Amino acid sequence: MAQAETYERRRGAMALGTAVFIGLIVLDTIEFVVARFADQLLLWMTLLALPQAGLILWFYMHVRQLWREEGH
Amino acid sequence: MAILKGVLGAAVGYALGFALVAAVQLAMGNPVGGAAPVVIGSVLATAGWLLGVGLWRAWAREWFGLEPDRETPTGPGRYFRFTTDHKVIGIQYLVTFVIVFGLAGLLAMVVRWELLTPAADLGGDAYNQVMSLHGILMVAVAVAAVLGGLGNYCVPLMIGARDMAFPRLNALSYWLVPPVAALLLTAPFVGGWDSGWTAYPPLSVVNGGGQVLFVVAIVIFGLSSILGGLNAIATILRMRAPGMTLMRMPIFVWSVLAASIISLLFTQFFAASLILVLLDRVAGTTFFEAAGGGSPLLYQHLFWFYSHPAVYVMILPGFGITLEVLAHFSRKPLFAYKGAVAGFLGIVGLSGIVWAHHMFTSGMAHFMNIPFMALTELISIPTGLVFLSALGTIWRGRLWLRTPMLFALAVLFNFAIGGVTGIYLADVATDLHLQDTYFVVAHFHYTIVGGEIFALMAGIYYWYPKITGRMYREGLGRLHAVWMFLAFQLVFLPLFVAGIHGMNRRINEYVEPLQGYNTFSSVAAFALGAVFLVALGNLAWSWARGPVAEANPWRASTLEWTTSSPPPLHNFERTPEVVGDPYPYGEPGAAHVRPVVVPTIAGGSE
Amino acid sequence: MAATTEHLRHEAESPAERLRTNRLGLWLFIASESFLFAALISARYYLLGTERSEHLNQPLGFLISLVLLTSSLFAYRAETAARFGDQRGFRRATATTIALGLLFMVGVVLEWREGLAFFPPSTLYGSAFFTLVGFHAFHVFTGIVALALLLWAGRDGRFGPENHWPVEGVIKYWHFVDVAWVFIFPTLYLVK
Repeated sequence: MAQAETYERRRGAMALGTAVFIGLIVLDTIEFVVARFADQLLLWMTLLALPQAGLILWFYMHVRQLWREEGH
Repeated sequence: MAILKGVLGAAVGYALGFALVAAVQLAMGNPVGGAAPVVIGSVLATAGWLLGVGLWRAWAREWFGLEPDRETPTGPGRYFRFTTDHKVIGIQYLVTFVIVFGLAGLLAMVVRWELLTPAADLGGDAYNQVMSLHGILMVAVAVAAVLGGLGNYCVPLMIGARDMAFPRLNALSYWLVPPVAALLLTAPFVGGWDSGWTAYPPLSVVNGGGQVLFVVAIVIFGLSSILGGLNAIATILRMRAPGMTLMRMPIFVWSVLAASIISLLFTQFFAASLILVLLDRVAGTTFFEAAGGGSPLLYQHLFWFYSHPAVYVMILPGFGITLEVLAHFSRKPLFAYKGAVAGFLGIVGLSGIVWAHHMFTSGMAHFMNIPFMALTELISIPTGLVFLSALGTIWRGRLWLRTPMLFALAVLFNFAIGGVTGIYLADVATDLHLQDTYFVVAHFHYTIVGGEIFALMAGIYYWYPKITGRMYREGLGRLHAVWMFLAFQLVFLPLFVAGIHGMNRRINEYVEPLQGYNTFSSVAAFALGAVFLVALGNLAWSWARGPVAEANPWRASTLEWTTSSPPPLHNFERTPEVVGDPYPYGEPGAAHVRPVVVPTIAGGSE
Repeated sequence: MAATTEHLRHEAESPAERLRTNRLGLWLFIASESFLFAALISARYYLLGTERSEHLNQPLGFLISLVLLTSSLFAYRAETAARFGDQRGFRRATATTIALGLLFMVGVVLEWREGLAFFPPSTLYGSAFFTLVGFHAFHVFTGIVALALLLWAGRDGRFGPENHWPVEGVIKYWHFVDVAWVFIFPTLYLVK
């Protein structure tokens, strides 16, 4: 029973990792495409890089642990 | 033994690095030699030194899945080993930097000797190298002596911790220092460097080979400083005893926290700017060479983005010691404690946005002058808060004029002069006239020597009984304080005037009419140098033969005085419990710490 | 003479407290490192504005970005596996992360060979490009070494839910190197 629960938690964590990864790839691709066609690139690039960094910091690096106890 | 292994490791590392680069140079068909093998050799030598001196034994084994040696060495030999006890490391820092201070002080005597007369006695090249070495060694002392020495020794004691948050990292920070000293002192024998401690390009890109060693040394020193800052922040945020809320911390701990934030973050800019100099020299990049499109001004921006905040790394712990001593020796609670904390944090906040006031005459865009002038002058507000706290504390206090207190009062006087003269340098209009004159030299000596070094002396005398378990000779201590104070004024006050009359800094010859100021200043400087012989004699003799000190000779309230002098290895017999403000003097019923049994005789850590 | 007192040092500190202290230390280090990259990135903009070389191989840059992002996914999977005590999963994902890191380095080498011909370090753009990429690649290299040591030390299955910090620490560092690249990539390759 507890084992099944652990298994579920682990699957959830792995699925979250994959979802974040897809988000990163999509943002990076948009960045690459936009850079070929748009103007005002500094602004665009900042706007597209910040969410990527945010995703990694929040979901992959668990920055929240700094101010909150272990949640999982 | 450990040191011998370290030297061996360094030799192996150097040979390895040199051979590696030489092999690459051969393979690419380039001539073997130049700066590159020396750079890589020095870096690997530092790594080899660390591994040999104890990093491998005590820590790095773990990275390979092996069991590290967790023993803490005892006995006098521990001062020469890679050990994790913050008290030992604090003493290692203090003694090392007292030696460096002495060396740099001798160089200052050479400088003043050359300036005794308008003519050149020493020769321009030699003078520039002496001046440069004096500058960087003193900067190293100013950055590391208080933070690394007293900070390391006292902060864990003052917050009721057993050690720093990362004891092995602490040892690593200290053992990075000897390679720095070795590199800086080797530099004069391989061509030296003559660009001062600031190492501005284009000169630093084209001058003698010593510049390369300087760069490597300072990058290593920066790493030591960053890791030390990191450790102090983590210690203060995570290791406090029960009941020790942030607002109950002794003010010195706050000042260490504030200074550590700056050294953690901003030091990277100094490292980066010097690494770019190195790349320009070794890898053929063109960051600072105008011919290749680069900009020497970029260096000044990167450099001062660290090096202006660095002066607060120096002075903030100095303020901390001063306020600490003023409260204990006025027997009053620190006035406006929260204001002083706000002052420290305000200085940290402003420190990162004022750097270009060093560059009013450097040729940067004119529109930047006024904003940087205004921001710089804003700093007088948080500094004023600190001063307010100091003056309010001694106001109607019962001043106990022992040696530490004399030094602390001297800091107030000196820093007032240093601060007020700073306004003329922050002001664009007057700075255009005063930049690069002895007015600047006198100004920063008043702030850093008059502020921080006087505070360092206050701290050394104040914590001397705690650190050594012995008492120094009070009479000689007071003599030191008064003599140093008077001589210091006589050295640097005339230099303000010489600067206003146009005496340039970093020159070894000057015009006849300026001789009066210089001769006067030089003679006073020799007197200032001589006082340290008295001090050294007193402190060294008392350490060996002085009367045994009580646990709390000053009847002071903070935690470090509740344990024996010197404290046992684990600092406190029982974890102390903090119940109130740090300076509960004259408040009936108030206490900082729940009463604990205070041992009255020294119980050493041996 | 020696006293074995290391255990006394942290007796007041529970393993959970120690974990929080370690985490704080690593985050402080990361904050410090980000100032280093900020210095180098600001040097690039100071010297060149948004100007960049026309000879850059943008698709290759994009490709190695994707490789590095993928390595972060596997680093995350390795950490999660270790946290749930799955030794095989941990080892496999760590090995994959290392392989992707090495692939990234191969990409950088290819990139440098092209770059040296068109914008050598003696040009302004070359200075910025090789320095920034070089600094970052050095961080990738140290990350690979750390991951390899982790794999080596953990071969006896010592890392698990109870002994998680070494895994967590190294992998946080690896993610940070990725975050740095997220800013360096547009700075060098895309901005114009």
